[in-house]
Amino acid sequence: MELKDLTIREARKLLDENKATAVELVAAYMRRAQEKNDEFNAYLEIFDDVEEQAKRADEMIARGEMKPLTGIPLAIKDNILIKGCVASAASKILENYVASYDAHVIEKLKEAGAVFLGRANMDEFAMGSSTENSAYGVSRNPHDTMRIPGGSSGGPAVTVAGDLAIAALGTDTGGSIRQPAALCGLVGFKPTYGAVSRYGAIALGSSLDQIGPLAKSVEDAQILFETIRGIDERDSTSLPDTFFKNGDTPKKIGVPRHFLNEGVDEDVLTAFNESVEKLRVDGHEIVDIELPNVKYALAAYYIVMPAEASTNLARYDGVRYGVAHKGKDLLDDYMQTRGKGFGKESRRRILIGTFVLSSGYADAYYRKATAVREQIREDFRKAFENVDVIATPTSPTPAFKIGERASDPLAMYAADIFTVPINMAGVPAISLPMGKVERDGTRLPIGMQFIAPHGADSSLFSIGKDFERIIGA
Amino acid sequence: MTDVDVTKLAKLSRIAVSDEEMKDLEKEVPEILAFVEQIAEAGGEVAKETGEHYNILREDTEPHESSAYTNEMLEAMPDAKNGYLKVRKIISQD
Repeated sequence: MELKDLTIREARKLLDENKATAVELVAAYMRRAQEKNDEFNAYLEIFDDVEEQAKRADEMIARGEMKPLTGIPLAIKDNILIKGCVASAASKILENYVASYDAHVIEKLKEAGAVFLGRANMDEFAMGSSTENSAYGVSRNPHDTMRIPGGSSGGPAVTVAGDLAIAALGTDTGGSIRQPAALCGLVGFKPTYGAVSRYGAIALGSSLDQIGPLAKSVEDAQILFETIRGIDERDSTSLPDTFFKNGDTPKKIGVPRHFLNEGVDEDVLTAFNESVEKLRVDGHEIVDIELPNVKYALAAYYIVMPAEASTNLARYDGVRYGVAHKGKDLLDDYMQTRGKGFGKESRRRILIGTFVLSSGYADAYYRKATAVREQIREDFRKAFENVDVIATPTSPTPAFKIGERASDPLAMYAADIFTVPINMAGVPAISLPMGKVERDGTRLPIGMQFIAPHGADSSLFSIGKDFERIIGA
Repeated sequence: MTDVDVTKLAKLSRIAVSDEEMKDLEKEVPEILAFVEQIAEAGGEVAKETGEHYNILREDTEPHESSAYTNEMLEAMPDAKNGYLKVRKIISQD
């Protein structure tokens, strides 16, 4: 079976026309995963019940009860709970944690008969843009294994780009689906905040986190999104169906030129401009827009997110679950458990979060950042009065080398410049392959990001399919 | 640059930090704070609107059957005895 360009839709056809069974399809991915995982470090664990899952899917198909994802092999990021499986968020502090319930998205995927091949690597607690913060080693970009795959959903991206799964689920707090999708040549989709329930996703920044798909095509990403979306009373921020609009195909595209001037590699900007020109030739109207406060988004994000992370991660204390290191008294139990259990970036962000929330500083940092966040939301709201979607590059650079930015937190944070404003505003965005640029003789993928108003998720699939056609042609 | 007592922050955060790492953090934490402080330049306030999200309360009923998850949770505990989580004694005589 040729896995290289196999999409969900094509695999569905093979299964429904009895040209392959789910057991055979899944076995092909398992062989590939077992062969390549040592090199890529994409999976932290390949599950041992995969064949049983596939058999159940074949039974569904035999009964004529198949759904779009029945028998489709997927990778699941290690921060999404599957009952009975370890969910470590790539952290030592949860290395022994077995999920006691299914995440809402996992319930939905089980109902659909999807097959979970394994749990995929990530930056610890989704803090990072390279997977170098994983406690279990960096994942490697299939386009150049000396380079990072992006993060934090780097493992899921590598499983799909390296043909170790057809598609994958990731989470996106500040670009963690879109940036690795861009750097690995995939489609990555961050839904409207509230479109997908966060129940059973290990929390990083609760006002920012969303679960979403990484896939080889827009259609595949849409199929996954349609399966996992929907209101869930266990996530009080999940939104009812009535909130979402069945938007028309976007015609008018806004480009925030003022925001693209600094820090973007020249050939990435050239590729972006050429892509925008192709959209114009294709009949889209291109207009310049202003997002006056978006320049503060990265700074505000690196206050809001660590603040939420430090409170969310306060629960890992070695008392109720997870790893426990005993000290000389109760306080020392906490100090030792958290000191040994958390990795360097997690410790760094917890300290920053603790500082920006502390008495005497919270007004100047945390409250000011939430006010700036409101201004960013307002900027987007105003911009969308005049345009249907907004376009930017997904990442200012292609994949960088392993170790290149590891010792400089601020250089690492800069990788998120175009993706964090979207989480701050809560709007949906998609990253699409936008060609390749050359570094050290290797051609590396880069991404185009389209952003839509709240609830207009479906319009991103429309423009995404247009863009696939235009770039592919 | 903001004067930050990183040792105190680590204590507040309940994280034991080695002397060696403390040296790195004493450099990195003020650098990160210096970067995020640019938000001070942002002006103006936006009236906080009730957006698409608001406080949602569920019905005050049993969210799931009693004891449905008890065994899983007991198994996840670092130290359990007779169906209880075992914790360190924190009250002493002296």
